[in-house]
Amino acid sequence: MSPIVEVNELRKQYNPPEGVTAVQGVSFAIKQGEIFSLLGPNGAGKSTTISMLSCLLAPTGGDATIDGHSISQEPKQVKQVIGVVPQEIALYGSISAKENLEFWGKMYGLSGEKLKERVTAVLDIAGLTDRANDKVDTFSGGMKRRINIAVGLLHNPKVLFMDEPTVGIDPQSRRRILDTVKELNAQGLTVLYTTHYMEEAEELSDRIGIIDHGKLIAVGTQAELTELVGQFDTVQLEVGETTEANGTLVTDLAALDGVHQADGEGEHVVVQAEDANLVLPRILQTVTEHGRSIRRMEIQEPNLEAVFLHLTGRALRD
Amino acid sequence: MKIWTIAWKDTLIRFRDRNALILMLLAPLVLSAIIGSAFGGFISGSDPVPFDAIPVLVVNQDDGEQGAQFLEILTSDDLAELLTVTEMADLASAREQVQLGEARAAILIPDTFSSSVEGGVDVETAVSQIQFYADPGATLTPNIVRGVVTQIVNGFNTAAISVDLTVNQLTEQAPILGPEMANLGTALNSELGSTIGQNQLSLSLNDVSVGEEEESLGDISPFAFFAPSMGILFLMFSMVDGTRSILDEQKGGTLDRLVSTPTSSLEILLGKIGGVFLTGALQFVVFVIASSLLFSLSWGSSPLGLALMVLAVVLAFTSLGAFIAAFAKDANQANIIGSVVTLVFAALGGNFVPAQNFPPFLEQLSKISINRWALDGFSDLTLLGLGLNDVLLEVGVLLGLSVVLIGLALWQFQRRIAR
Repeated sequence: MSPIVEVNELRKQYNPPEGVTAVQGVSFAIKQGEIFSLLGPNGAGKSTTISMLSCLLAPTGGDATIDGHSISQEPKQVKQVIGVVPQEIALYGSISAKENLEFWGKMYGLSGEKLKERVTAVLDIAGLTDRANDKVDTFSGGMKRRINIAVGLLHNPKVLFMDEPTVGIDPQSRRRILDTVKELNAQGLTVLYTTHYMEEAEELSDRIGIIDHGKLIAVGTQAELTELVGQFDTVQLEVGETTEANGTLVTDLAALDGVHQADGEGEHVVVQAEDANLVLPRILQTVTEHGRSIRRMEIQEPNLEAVFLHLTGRALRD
Repeated sequence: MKIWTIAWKDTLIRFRDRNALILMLLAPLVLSAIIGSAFGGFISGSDPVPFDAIPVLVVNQDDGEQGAQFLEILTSDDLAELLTVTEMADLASAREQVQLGEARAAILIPDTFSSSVEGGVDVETAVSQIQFYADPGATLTPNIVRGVVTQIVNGFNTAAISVDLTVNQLTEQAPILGPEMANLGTALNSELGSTIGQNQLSLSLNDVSVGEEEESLGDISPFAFFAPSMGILFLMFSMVDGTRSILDEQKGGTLDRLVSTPTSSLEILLGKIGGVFLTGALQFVVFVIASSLLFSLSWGSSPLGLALMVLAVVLAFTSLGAFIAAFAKDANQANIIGSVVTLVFAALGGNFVPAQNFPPFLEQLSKISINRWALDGFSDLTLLGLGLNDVLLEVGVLLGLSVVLIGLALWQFQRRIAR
């Protein structure tokens, strides 16, 4: 299937020439009907990338086309085919959900019966038909998030950009949003989804781009990405405090037989091993020898967290 | 269409905000009532203010006939209930008496007055020749005296033009009419100068004749000054506060979301500014109606003049608010700057004490504030009962300021949006 989004060496430097370069020549393509996730820690450049693709920020280099329209040359045409779900709740709290949707629908050029029909449809998608006439200010965080998504769907966009849409909400609302994204995708909607939650990227995505410090460091399906780290297990440790510098513990753990890599700061230590079960006793012994207690321990089979650690030398949560 | 959609949405949000409603509608009415009553006011128009004739001093330095006529009119029976005129020989003494509060105003008829009027100078020049000194403590009476003086000078000027035209026409026709008719022209020159002028003056004075004077005096209440004054002050507060919503939208993310829709940045900004304008216009219209009903305040006899003034004033304050918001770093800074500018403009523009009572340099300086032009315009309508033509200058200045401020605000906002 042909790509509906093609990003070519996209670059953004704030206040050039001295300012920070938030995105450093990112390239990727999204096929029609695909869910593509940009996975990376806070400050990696995910939101800046999505802002450029939404025509909110002007790129300082490169270009991207969406449904054949250049974001630099044809922003108006681009805006007609994209739906944007921003990270923050971009709604008017003192008017009702329905009034919000009617307003945003008009901003997308809808009117009359078509507008009514779409407002009804997206209220149904959000599961908030019975609360349509209530002020948004009276909604819970999760309900606001759902209306926030509904606004992006009003004009039946070809591509939906979702910038960390589950930040700061309860697990139930999060579950509902993830299910909604999957349902919309099943109906043919192409989705660009940014997140720093590895689990969301794993659950939703057809393909994933891992982004860090403004650079796209890997792109592929989950299987393709985990192959990058081989078959290493990941042991995540939360250790007690000590006066000793953490670096010594990490160095000693990395030197153990069967350990591929060890990294971490403060109380968090991440160890990659060929077989976690075999090496675990030696890990525990080393931690104890350093006078540290173990507060929590988690063993993971190869996943995106491990991929990120492998590619950047840092844990995703850092 | 999208501009209207944004403007209406903002108006809806504003009028659903209880705090904003208190600031926009209740506060100016309550303050008008308190201050108006404190200055010896009345609530009902059927209960007029006890009103003594205003003590005025006149120094006539003009030896000509026009100066004498001017004085004669001022001391005429028609104006006796309005003014108590005392003639003085020395300007310095007259000013001193005004400063001591013995009189409310001093009028100087300069020695060039007759020659100017007979030479057919325009009204503005003739008025500017009459010097006027007001009691700094007085709020309303200087405006009344000034209005009377303007009316009289208007009459003089019209008369002088009539004389000029007649004499000039006769002189041009002299070769055809013969030497007798040419002499007649010269004779008329001196005769019409007084006769026609006198007729014109009496016509002009009919504007403040006894019949209408009673009605006019019934309207001279502190509310006629303080209601527009408070209305303007709180309009300014809410306009400056309203335009800040552009920055609030930027902070809250809705501005970015608007930009991500197929809506141009110009449409967005005009919609936002339009919303503030619409809110302000509704606010002032409600205030005019409410103050008319509650205080029996007459907003003048020119609905068109009033409508133009309301639109011009609201647009000017909207533009000022947009200008402040456009150049402020964030909503917080816009709030601080807006509050300071509002209070300084209110004090300077005469919202608390009429600017006519300021020292001359401050009185001139007050013209940089929108409030001064707004108050002058509304005073012309409510205090002096003047019409549309008399507020065109104020409307023009306010619209001119609006164009400049909105232009700069749009330019800066577009720069901020295009990142």
